[in-house]
Amino acid sequence: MKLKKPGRKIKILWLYPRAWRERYEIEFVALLEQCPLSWLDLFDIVGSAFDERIRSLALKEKFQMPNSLTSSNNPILRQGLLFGVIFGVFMLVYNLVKNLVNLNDTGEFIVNTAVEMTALLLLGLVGMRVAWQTGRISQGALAGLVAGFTGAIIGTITLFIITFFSIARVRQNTFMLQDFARSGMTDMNQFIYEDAAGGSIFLFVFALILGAALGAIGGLIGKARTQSVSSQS
Amino acid sequence: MTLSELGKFSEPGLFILVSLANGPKHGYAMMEDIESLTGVKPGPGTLYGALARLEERGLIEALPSEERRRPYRLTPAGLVALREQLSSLELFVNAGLQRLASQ
Repeated sequence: MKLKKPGRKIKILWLYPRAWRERYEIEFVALLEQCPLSWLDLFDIVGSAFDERIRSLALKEKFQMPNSLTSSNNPILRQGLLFGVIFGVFMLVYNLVKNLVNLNDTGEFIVNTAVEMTALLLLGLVGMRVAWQTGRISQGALAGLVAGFTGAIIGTITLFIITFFSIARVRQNTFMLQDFARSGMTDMNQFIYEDAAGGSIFLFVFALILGAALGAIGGLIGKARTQSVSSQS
Repeated sequence: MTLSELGKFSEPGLFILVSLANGPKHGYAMMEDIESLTGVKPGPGTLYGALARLEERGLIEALPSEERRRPYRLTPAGLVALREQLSSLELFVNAGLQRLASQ
């Protein structure tokens, strides 16, 4: 039962997986054309598209069980998790150094720059590799998102473990003492935990936005590379 | 199957089943009907998210399209699931009302 293609394309629908679009796009566009869209509806569509992406990944996983996560058939998860774990290990080292070593301004600058550069490199590289394997930029962006999310999870867990077990050391950290003095708070332990929570939220936002953006940029490079290789062969 | 398997789509899923209980409807008609029943219009993404899951589980089915709109109807399994869900809600509501009455 083939339907007529709609005259007006709703661009936001590219966020949905291809299989979903093939099944529901025409009637969904017809629905969107019938009702005026509010900002809330747009958020609803974006959130729902994200759900469908996750569901489509989960379904692929379900049908590829024998090959497991290490399967080359699923480069998004395999590469995303691999690069995410590497990113997470860097975050672990970063958290250890930042909290337990008394750095001067130069040391602080070097450590911050190193972790930022590492994040840029890893998240861009994973997008490039996945897009190179699959020929699709969106797959690169998703791999960047998975890597960013995995790295942020590891970073957050390690930050709280370090804070919890070494709070006496963290209390001696020069930058922490300066920040605490500026905060006007009276309980330093509470300040340290709130600082860790704030840092974790920032890390998640930073890693997810950067993961998707750099994954897509890397994906562009990777796709161009695939096309140039296939045109040469 | 129970609608709770649909996770966050279980409530919109129930609304869709109730909406289809008096005959087939397409997406926009369902939105309007659900708004009139509950006072809240479901978002288009939520509606189609729930619709896709209900169809996948065989609780609703698509009918031949009308222009670009595609109506849906309850399947026999959907009817059973809706009855079960409404019965369990009835028990819950009755228990709540009894507790209130004994206050």
